[in-house]
Amino acid sequence: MHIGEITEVGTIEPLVIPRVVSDGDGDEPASPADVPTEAPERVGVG
Amino acid sequence: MTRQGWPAPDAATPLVGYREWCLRGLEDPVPELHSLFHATGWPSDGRPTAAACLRPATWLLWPRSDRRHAGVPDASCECGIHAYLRPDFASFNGVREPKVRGVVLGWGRYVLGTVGWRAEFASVAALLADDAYAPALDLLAVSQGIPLVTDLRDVRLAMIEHAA
Repeated sequence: MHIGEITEVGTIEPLVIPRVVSDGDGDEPASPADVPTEAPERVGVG
Repeated sequence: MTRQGWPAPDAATPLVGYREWCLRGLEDPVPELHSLFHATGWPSDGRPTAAACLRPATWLLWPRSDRRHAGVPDASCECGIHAYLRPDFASFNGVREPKVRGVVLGWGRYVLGTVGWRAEFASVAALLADDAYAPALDLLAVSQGIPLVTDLRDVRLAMIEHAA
């Protein structure tokens, strides 16, 4: 896949993380995603 | 995640994106998500994944990129974990394996484009339910600790405080 024309390059250190709270069908809120506390092992590209 | 000596980050909120994977191991205790283009898998237990540049193996495809760069992803390359900005992207042809879509969060180094982004780290936030692979997706969602959603366009995200 291609991301299109590059508009921005930077670094994100997540201080807050979003979680999925609803898919619009009335399900119970999802559990919060794991907060990354250290760099994960490099396993390859997406 | 601590990176002493790095410049101040540009943002504190992960990127949100949408992408597609191959779904493998449908009969296994826990199926796996794999890249559509590379022999790389995502952790099935909810851990984040991290990008590594495979340019040495694919350099001939990207002759204009620098042979070496300091970090992943780099603007001159095509490396990094890819995702689209919008959930309504076209599916990829040529992949015969079952495919699944989902919501991903990206952070670390990133390259933002007009239709997508590439990031250094990513985790799966939700997967799109698909009746054709319901048992496998149920197992994977439980293993990842994430929800199955019925429509990626309706996913709502809320910000929670960093626990660290």
